[in-house]
Amino acid sequence: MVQIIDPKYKVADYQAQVMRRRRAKSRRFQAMGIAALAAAGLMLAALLSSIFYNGVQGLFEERMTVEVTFDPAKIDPKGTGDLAVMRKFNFDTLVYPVLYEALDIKVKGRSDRDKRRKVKQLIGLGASNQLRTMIVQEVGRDPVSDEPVLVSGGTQLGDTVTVELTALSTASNPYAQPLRDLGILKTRFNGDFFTGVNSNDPGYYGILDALVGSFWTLLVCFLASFPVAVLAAVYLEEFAPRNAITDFIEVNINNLAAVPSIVFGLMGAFVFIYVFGMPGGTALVGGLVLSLLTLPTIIVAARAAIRSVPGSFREAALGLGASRQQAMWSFVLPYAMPGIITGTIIGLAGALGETAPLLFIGMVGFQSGVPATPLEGTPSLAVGIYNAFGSQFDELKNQLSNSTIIVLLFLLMLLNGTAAYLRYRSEKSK
Amino acid sequence: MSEIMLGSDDEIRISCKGVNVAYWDNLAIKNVSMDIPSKQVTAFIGPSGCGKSTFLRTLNRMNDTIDGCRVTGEIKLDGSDIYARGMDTVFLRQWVGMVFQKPNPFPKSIYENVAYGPRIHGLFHTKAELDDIVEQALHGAGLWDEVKDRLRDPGTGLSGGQQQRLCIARAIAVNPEVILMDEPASALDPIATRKIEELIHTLAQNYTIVIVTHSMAQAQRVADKTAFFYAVPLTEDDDSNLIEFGDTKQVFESPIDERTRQYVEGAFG
Amino acid sequence: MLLTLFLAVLLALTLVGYFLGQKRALGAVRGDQAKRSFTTNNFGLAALPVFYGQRLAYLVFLPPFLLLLLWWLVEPRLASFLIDWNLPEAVRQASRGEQVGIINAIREAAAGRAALPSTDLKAAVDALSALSWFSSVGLYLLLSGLIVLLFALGLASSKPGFKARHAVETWNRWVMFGAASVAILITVGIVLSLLFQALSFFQAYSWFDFLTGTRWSPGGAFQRGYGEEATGGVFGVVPLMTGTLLIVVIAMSVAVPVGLLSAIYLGEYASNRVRVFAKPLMEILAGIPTVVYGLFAALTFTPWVASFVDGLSAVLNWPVLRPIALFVANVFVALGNGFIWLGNLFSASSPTYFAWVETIVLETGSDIALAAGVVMGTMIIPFVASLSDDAIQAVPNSLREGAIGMGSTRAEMMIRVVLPAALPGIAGGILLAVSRAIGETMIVVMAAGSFAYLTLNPFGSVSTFTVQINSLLTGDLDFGGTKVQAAFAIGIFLFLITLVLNTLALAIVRRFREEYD
Repeated sequence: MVQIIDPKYKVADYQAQVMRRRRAKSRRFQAMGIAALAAAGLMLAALLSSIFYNGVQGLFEERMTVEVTFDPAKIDPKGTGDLAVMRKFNFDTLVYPVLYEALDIKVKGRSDRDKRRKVKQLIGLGASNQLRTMIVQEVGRDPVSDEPVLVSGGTQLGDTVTVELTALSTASNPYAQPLRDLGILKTRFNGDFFTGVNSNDPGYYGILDALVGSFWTLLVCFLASFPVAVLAAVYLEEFAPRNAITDFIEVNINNLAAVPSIVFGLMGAFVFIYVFGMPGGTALVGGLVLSLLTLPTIIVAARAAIRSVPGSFREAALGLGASRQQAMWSFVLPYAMPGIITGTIIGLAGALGETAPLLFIGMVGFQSGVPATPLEGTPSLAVGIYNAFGSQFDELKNQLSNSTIIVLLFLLMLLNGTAAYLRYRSEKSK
Repeated sequence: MSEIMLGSDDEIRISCKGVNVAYWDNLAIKNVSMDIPSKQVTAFIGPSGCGKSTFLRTLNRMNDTIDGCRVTGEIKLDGSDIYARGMDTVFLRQWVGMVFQKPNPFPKSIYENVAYGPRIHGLFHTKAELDDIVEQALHGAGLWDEVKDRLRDPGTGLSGGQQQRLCIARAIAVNPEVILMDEPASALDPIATRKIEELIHTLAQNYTIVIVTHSMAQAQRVADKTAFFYAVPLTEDDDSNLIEFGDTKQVFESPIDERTRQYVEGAFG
Repeated sequence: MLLTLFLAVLLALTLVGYFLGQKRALGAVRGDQAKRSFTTNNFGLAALPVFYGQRLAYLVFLPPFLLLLLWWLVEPRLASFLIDWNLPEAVRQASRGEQVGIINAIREAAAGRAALPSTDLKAAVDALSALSWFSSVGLYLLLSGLIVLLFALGLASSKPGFKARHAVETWNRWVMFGAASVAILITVGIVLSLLFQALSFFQAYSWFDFLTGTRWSPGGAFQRGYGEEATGGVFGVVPLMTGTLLIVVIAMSVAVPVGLLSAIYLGEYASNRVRVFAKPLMEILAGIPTVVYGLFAALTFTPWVASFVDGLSAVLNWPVLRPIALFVANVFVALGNGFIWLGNLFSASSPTYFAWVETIVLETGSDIALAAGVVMGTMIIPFVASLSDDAIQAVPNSLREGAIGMGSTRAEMMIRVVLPAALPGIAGGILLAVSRAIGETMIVVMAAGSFAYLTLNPFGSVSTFTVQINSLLTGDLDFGGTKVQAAFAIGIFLFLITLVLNTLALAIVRRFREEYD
């Protein structure tokens, strides 16, 4: 017998040593995998806990309850009775003395100037307007002179009324705690968040306009992309001849799927707004821009769904004398529909979170009011988050932005859950 | 197009002369000529790959859907060239129905499966007429008694043999002249196969039936006429895929061609 | 108003056409035709009646509707063109601002809201009012005529022998082809709009300065005084390139190891229990919108990184490390401009700052590139993981079995056999991920800086292409202005980079797939 392998390699403890090393290496490799997953999980946990920690705080807000006297000597010192004069008055100044008194701060004098400044910062941006409307309201503009038409707000000068006003930056203001102890600052559920529209004042800030804007935008996006995408997918899978034009279409779809969304935003701003003169900042243009993004997604999903339809249906229909198109509409498309809808929902979920392209076409949410049609200027939820982030007020920047994210994530979960359910159901039935 | 009369009881229903079928450059069928008699069962037999299924599919132009398939020669159904320019395959397939190897009911109800053909061909005016057509077709396929209480159930829920009979019912619902069957029982168990064979017998009273089968016993049981196809490999020397065509009894008991004899005796295939 | 009326009439006529087409075809059947044959059906028609209806509906609806759509798209351009064409020479030579004012006056006058501004503008005003008369009245008259014509034509041709199904299916095919061509249309739209604006930009600004300039200051006013006068905007993309590069490198150095190792672990090691948790983890990471990542990066993660960097400074100042850190820092400083980007790591923010480093203080800006990069990397983890998983799954099992059969451990099989075999696919996936990182906008907009420092300092503040596009385009859109045009110039740059990366990646992945199919 010829010896090929040196006998020393057969020594049992040498082999055992090698095996130990190899096993250890294998375990290290596996540990790296676990560490990687753990890292991803940790980031997600950090992200979600940051969102919920801040976001839940945004769902509660503090308001100050004060007794305000509409002092005629201040509001209308000359006693003219003219609403236009009263309207110019800064109604915040009615609240100051109430707070000073409660906190034992001198109304005049140098010593307490800094304290007074701090206390003033507590009063919400909308407080003055809220008090003003109690005295005087604008109901429209005179068509001839273009002057505002004013009516009385119902409260008479000299009345003393208890009002609830918005408060600002209560977390960092040193006078917030004393006012809480006095019962002037009270925490309550932030209902305005769901029923109000976007506002600079965190106390009034709400997402209803953004919600409705997102709805309109997605609706336009769906209407613009779904029919086109399904027809395109049907054509490419069933009817397109193998030629250069078809190949070119395919290359284009593949590339569009990978073009950064910001480029679609640039194109949308130029083509829809500049070239075609559509109204900027509306859900119409926003939806159209997003449809450019969802179109390739839906086409790819629809083609996969159509490809998965068994050829036997088509053959059976053709054998009965159906034309290829009849076979398509009667059997292939209905059978593929759950898959197409799933792909569409996933595409729309992506569109719901898309932000950058919408900023370029002017969906920046400077308008206020809930859009009744897609032709009105509106923010979307995602844009709303970005806008809130840009605020100078802590409540809006840190908390309400995260509250909006919670709503957005909830909607995304709803959409993706529906898609997953549809996929599950259609797989079960096949 | 000249005036044609369909449904006449001429002896010959389909007449083929010098038919060639090619996929791109590969000839699959070469120079086949045969006359398929009316209201009889004609069986195509032969080893796999001999082109018998391909030839069957040329009879209602199902090969049109395949890329690169080219048919030359002449196939006449009741005297009309079915490959003539202007022939609408929709009308052709209304006359020449087809049943496939694997039962392929539509993912719809039993009723809708049968009603689909009459719908696309506009064979009825009222709902009652359609109900009547569906019932007749299901009777014709011997399925009525089994499914009459569950017409709204999905067709895919039936057993394999029932599914295949549903497909036959679907085919006869458009009232064709010819029914092409591509190995209709090959995916079924023996009992279901027997039912299908009995059904073929019954149907032959009203329809011309062409059946492809890999089972020689089946051909002997159901067919009046048998055609033997042989093809591998098709060379310049062979002048046709069709080796022999005649009465079933003659083809199996006293074949003329040596290859037929070997095949029916089970020497190859 | 007329538009709504017209659309209503059009829709009504389409519906009427649908029913009338059927009735007409059926009515035209003679008794002897009503027999089933190779050319006619039970009705004696060449197609089902419903196809005659559909065909007439198509005929009545589609051509007028397409013409209307086309006019609607073309009209605003045509109006601008007509004004431009009829402008007097004097106005043409006026400044941009004045021109805009005059054009607005012309529009107002043509709409009847204002008086004619001056007699030499009469031609433009007349042309514009003619146009608006046509698009509000004339067009509808013309289209109505067309509809009547089409209706008559369609009814006349609805004869029993007419192959209506073929006609309808041909229309259908064209409609489907049109839908598929939208993809081409969008690409053309992207390329043309980017090119159009970018070319205007390069007429005003040298492309050489654009590509090689080391200062990016579109406002012109933000400049820190180092020698040059503050004039118009300065558009040099080098700082944006380095900024984008820095953030993408940071992102990929998070995403590639984590994504790849997660994919390997989930594909080869993980038990079902782990998978049940890990799969949704990846799906959630992939499904979170980028604006959410952006907010997290800006508000939560950046402060964390800042305190981490402070801690690092303290560590570097430990007596043992201090001399080494000082030495390294001063080598960078001494190496001068060539390494100034890194030298900058240890000192003030100006790239030209030159002084020996005496105390080790790692400086952080208000925005930290590292924070934006890590969060962007987190966003890309599932993308890398899923593409790596695809590549690993595509490696045939025979290779695995071969390796295991020789006595390899699982890790050896992965590292020596499967990963090398899957490498092209993984590389393609990483390229796609890089392209995605380059185009990513919201994270960097919110968490990276808006001032384009030329630095590779990961703790410093940098800006990227997408950040600058965003800041140039937000606000009033003046498509004639240099700033907006500059955004499109970066846009075309971005489009080309991502296009090249994607094409390359897809080519690699395709070749890899073919190898194992």
